[in-house]
Amino acid sequence: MEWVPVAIWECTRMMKRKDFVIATLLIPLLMGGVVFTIGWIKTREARAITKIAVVRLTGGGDSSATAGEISMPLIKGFEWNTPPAGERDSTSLAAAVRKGTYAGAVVIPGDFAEGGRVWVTVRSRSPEWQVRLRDGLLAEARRQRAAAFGLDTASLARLDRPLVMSQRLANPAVRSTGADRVASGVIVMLLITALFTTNSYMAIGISGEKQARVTEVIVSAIRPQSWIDGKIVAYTVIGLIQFVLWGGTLVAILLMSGAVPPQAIHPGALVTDLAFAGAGLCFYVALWAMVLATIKDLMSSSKFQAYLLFLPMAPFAFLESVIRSPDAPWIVAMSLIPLFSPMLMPARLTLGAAAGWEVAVALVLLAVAAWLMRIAGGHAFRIGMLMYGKEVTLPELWRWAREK
Amino acid sequence: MRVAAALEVQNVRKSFGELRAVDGVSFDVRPGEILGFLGPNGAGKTTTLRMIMGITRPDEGAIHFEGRPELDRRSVGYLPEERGLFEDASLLDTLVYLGTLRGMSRAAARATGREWLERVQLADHAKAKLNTLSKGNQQKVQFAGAVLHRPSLAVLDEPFAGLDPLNQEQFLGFIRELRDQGAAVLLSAHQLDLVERLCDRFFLIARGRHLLSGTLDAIRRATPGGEGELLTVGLRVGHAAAADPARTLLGRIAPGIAVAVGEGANGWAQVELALPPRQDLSPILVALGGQFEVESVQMRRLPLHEIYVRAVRADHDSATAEREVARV
Repeated sequence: MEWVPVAIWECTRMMKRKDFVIATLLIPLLMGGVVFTIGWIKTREARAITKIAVVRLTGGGDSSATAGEISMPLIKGFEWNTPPAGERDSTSLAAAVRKGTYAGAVVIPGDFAEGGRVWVTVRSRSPEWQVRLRDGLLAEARRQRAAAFGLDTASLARLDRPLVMSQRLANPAVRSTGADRVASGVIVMLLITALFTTNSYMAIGISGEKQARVTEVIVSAIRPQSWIDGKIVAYTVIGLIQFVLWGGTLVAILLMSGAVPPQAIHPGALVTDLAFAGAGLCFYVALWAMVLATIKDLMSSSKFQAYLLFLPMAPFAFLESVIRSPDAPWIVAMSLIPLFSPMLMPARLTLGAAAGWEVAVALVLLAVAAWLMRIAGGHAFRIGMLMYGKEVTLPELWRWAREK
Repeated sequence: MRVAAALEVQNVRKSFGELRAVDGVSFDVRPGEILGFLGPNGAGKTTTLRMIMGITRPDEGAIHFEGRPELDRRSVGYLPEERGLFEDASLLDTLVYLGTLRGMSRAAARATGREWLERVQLADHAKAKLNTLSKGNQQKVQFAGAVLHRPSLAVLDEPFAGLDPLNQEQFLGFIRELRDQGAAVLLSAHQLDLVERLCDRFFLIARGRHLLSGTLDAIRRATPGGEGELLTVGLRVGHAAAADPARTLLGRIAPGIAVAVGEGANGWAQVELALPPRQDLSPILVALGGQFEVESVQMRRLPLHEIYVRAVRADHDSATAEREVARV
């Protein structure tokens, strides 16, 4: 249990870092802020009343027709106004709309239900209310036509009864709704963000320790393997805290906003996501610790070191394919490989029909890879942390990782 | 019954590529003893200490701790030459961390850490960051971190580096206290006057090989002329004016005795003679007093510094000769 003091030390140091606390809390605040702002705008729009000037022409829609009083259907969100006499011609209406007296003006011919053209004067092209106005007027036109045919309201409702249609999936396990796709993408992004945030702080810590030359002091007290184990545990826990905090905020927002019904949240899937996140963090933290031990300062890392550090970004390259066809054979194969499984398997679980054995195999392979990476990291860490000045090559790193 | 050595290094060898850094070194350190591990820069001292601490592994040979081949890291205190601590952590937090790494409970490490900060006059800085302290004060924290857990074996590599004379005296007290508590102390340092006052035995290496070892008396005996004493006579005359006449005079009065004429205080001459045991001083002093005005007379045994310089110089000369032979 030599690693325990290291894990406590690393966790405590992280929790004392203001920039880390701000970075961790910023994402839920941003998520909450974005959702709140969108909701606020929508609520405001829903409550807003659009003032429309209505001129109803008696007779046809030609210039000989005369403007009369209105009789408009009640449409939610609209307020009908009759302009004063003398201000009902198109020029006066345009002036009133330009001035902001009305959001728009609509001139409705007496024969509008029979094809007479309705003119709408707007400030800018295609305002969002125009569709609602058209739908409202169409409903009124239908009512008038039905009355002309001698149909009563009940008969008209029967005519308008909507068609009942449901989907039946060929593979019932697939639940690929729009919300699922967004949630999958967001979960992968959150995991990668948690990985890079924690690993960046670990990078600062390890390069700082190397520059401050604490290595000999520490490895004289505990085995290098215990040192790296403590770091792996600490940064995995820190990454998981971030992932749970961020993911929890996302789930809470989805539930509270009604975008996702409570029954759509599967506890089993959440546990599986957590397991992949934990094992994935463990694997990548061990890989990063090993590579970081070979870097004297972060600005001097060579190409192969940079490639290794950015490996967690690789699943982004396949994310679109995963979202489009989550169960394609090559995606299934990729989702079993430990380098990619922490991101791809949770996405497949949400979007596709990942079989139980696939999930189990991916998880076992990931756990074994994380364990081996931890041991290889311990070997390379001992040598790398005592190495100063010389640039390390990939074959050297490979040799150190195998050295006992 | 003989007490088992706290540390036993047996015929250890270590090479880096073509360079043989340590070549068959053997020594031991017993409980309640301070062993001075000495040698010039590049002699292989730090490499040997790193092998002892398990940081690097010997190519050949064995290292035993209280008779066992495994290092119990929790019972060892190590002050490395390449040292540093967490610059952005407080002194007390750092000491607590180092204590818990060595197996202490957090409460015990905190209490002992506070005690040590009191002892090194840094109690008021317990919450200060290490990088706000002077180099000497950082050194005190380093030392406290190495011995906080009361190790049974303390390996100290250059503990006096960067310390002023007052702090050096304080460190002498700390190291003696470790020994008095029964710890075995392996000390490597270049401040030979301090090492001479502190250590019970010495082990001198050069080019990775053993040169001299034993108590001060033993290594004096092993040094040519080391059994005798050094007579230093200060003359109230300029160094340049006295050098040749003094050498000629002493060559006649005391043939076979090594004489060195150097510059003493105020530019006056200082004559140093390496006397064999039981040498009669009267003719030397009478002769010098007859020709020069004598300012001071001092007798002392051969100091460690002199033994060290003679041994290392002789080894250097021998290495140069070996290279010449190899070249020819």
